[in-house]
Amino acid sequence: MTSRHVDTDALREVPAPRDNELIARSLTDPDAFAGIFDRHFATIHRYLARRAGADAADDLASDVFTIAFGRRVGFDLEYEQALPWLYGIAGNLLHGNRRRLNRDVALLARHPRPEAPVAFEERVDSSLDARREFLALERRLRRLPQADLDTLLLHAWEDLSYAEIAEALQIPIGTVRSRLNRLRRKLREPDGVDPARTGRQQTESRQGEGHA
Amino acid sequence: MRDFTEIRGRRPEPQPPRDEVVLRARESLMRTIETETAPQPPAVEATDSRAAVVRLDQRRRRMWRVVAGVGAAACVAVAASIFVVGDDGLGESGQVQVIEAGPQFTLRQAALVAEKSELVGAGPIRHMRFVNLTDEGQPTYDAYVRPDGTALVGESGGDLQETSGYLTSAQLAELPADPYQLRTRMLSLSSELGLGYPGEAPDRALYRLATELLPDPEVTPEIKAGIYRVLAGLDLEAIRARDLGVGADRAGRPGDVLEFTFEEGYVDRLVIDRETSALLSTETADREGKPAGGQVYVSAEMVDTMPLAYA
Repeated sequence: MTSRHVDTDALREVPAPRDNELIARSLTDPDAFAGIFDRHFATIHRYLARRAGADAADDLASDVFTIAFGRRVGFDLEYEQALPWLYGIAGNLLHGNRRRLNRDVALLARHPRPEAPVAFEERVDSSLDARREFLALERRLRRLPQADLDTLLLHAWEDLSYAEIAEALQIPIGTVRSRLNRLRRKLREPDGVDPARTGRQQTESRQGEGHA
Repeated sequence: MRDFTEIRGRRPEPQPPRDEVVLRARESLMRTIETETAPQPPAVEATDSRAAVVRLDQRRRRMWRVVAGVGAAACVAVAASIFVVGDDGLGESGQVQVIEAGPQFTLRQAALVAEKSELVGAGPIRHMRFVNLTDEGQPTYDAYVRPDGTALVGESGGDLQETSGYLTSAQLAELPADPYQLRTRMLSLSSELGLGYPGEAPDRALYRLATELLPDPEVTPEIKAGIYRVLAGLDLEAIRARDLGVGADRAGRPGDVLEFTFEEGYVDRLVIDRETSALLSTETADREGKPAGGQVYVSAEMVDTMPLAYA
């Protein structure tokens, strides 16, 4: 073989390609788009299962990636992450299919997660109250306009940042902020107050509203 | 309500999608992709001898594209007999014996490789020596792979040529040992590396990646055990595995022979060291029984430095 050697300290390790790099590559090498599927299918499926039940999620999640592949030319390569974009497509599919989706799928989990602790005595004392409150909360969420519900759940369940929600829903970041502030107030109000009659919705910026 | 605490606390936690759901969705995507993929012009083989070595590694990848496109008609009976009539120690008829189903076999390897194998050498450079069975004269090659996946490759004792496309050390370091997580990561990696083809089951690419990872000196015994577990869970609709018992590779080294029969009718055989579960060789034959590819892994170790390109 050889007797002389070279030092390799200066060699730089190459990280895995970012989402936008994979999508850019898929413009000339479509197979590269499978990498987006492998990274994000489980997350998108989980979101859709939360919103529409596991059975509906199986088909919808598959459709998200087929649609995304067809729209990849329109993906803004300035964004490193494809997930907000995929959430946006998933949301559109939920709304587009809302007539055939099972409306009986519970929105909220019947039992709180362990990481949301409730004092033991509180839990025992107030099981009936809690049940009543839970049903009331579920009812209030179901009455929210779709755009509000999307914003709320992307924030509270999917832990997207304001900027990512703005990207997913194609709205300005200021709209995300004002929408969430309004929802905080609205959900604190006594049940039965119809926000549509309070005029509060008028406070939201209408700029960029395009998500239906 | 402090920042939607109640809503956060009542977030449903659905089960992850079932494997068949993921596979079906991926298949659907790949079919969509396939309809957009324009036919590629045939690759022009360079005549420059210096380019020949660089092509070596590309050819191994391209070989899969060829065999994947052999045709849909299954020809399992013909394919299964290919190695039985071989002219060497590999799979001689007297030694061939189906003793176990493939999954149990690979699970056994998983336990063995974790217990018996160890990393060889130290340093950042992966050095692999192998014989390429389909090259004239079956020459021995050396590959020195840098952490960034670039490499020097050439016939042992001869000039080395710069090439690339190997897995990076970072990619290897990120592999999880848990077989479920590993399977997901391997699916993703095999896609990034372009090991899969439109219309085929994703497990095919997974299998190809497994045969790249198992001979690699930087892949830890723990991960190799995970890879054998992943192999045990392959989609057997797309790939059928059989344990053929004791055989030998083309260098005469004895080993357990595991045979994978693909639906197009070609057969891939792995010869695995009986003591350590190290992968000794891979060999592929097309549906006509002709060798379509294969390598004998002579040695693999980690070394400190790269050699110079020229001897």
